[in-house]
Amino acid sequence: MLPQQEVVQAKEANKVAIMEKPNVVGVGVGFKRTDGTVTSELSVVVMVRKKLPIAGLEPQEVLPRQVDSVKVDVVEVGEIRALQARTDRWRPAPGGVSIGHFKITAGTLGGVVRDRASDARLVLSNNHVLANSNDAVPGDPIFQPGPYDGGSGANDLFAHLERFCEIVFTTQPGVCSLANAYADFGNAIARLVGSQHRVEVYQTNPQAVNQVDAAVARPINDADLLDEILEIGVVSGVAPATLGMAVRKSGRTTGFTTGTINLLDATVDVSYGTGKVARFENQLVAGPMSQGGDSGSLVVAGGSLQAVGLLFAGSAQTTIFSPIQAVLDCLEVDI
Amino acid sequence: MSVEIGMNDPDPNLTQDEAHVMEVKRAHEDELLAKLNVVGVGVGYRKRGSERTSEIALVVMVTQKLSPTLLAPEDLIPTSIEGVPVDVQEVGEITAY
Repeated sequence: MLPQQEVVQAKEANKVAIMEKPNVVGVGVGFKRTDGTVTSELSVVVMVRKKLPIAGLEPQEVLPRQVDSVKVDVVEVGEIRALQARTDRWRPAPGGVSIGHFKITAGTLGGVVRDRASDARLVLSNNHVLANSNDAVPGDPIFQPGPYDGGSGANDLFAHLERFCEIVFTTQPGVCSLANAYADFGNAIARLVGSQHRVEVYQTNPQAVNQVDAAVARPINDADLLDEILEIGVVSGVAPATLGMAVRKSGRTTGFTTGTINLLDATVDVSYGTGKVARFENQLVAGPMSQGGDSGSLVVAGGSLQAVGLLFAGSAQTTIFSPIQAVLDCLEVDI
Repeated sequence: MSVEIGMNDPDPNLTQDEAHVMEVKRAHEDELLAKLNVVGVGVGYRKRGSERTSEIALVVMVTQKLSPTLLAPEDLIPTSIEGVPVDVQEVGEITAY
């Protein structure tokens, strides 16, 4: 058997020539494999994207069977990519990675949808991810990764807000100047008399009910948006939700997770921070399969590549998502 | 030949049981959501402990389960409504994230 040093020398002497061949992504030294089993023979291992029949290759593209009397073993490894975190900058960007309007923290790039009017490819996520909970205008910058993950500046600018379904809040901090003046007056008296309590003004709108928390953005460069969702694949079409249905999602924070639909037709009060609450009806509820930052993830059927919902909220015990058809109809897009 | 599905026809994806619980839920959700700690209502499987049963119930989601002795009479959640079992499930606060 050849000593390891000789094999390493053979690899070093030939690696430039081998790496120049199309389809080759790496060269190393390792035990030769024969029919899937590892032998004890050291060889120069050439990693290729795809093994191709010799008949389909030009003579200069064919890999030698041995170099400097050391055997060459060809191994198919596919494309080698640097291990990237979902909070990193991705170009092109798949579904399941960090994204966000310039004024928010970060959410998840749900996936690709098509504008019904123009057939343009758009990025799907939540209103509170792409449109700052209504506080945004079409054309606003969307970063990938989202601002919390370091997204800022021209290099991270990924898309522009296209449109969103407005969220109507049942409770939000008051904007009425008269009510605020009363509150300020009351709080001044409370301060004077040494009370630790203060009043705040809330505007209530008990009739307000929402169906979805959804928005779309237009990528600046269409080629920078991948159809694929990380660890799921390319989703197309929709599947209606049923009780007990297995579902999965791919999100910025908790990555790929699975769950089961526990509730149908749920009406829920969702907190949006700083005193804002919005009621949603016709929602779907699964067990805990998400955390903050997973908002905007597409919820996909467990047994097919069909979309089921758009994740937007949850608690320690639940995950809330809107039925995908209501999302698509509100945004006038298809999947 | 196409079949028209009217607004009042039952959802073909629902079982009869689910459709019935949904009807009762829709009729009573406003009064349930007005009670203390209630953050949601829906149609789902009843739980016994942490185990899911096969029984369909009107599920009431609360931030925190409290002993009935601590609640005002108007905040108590009935154990059944119109013959449909009511299952109270603790979920914490639901936040958009």
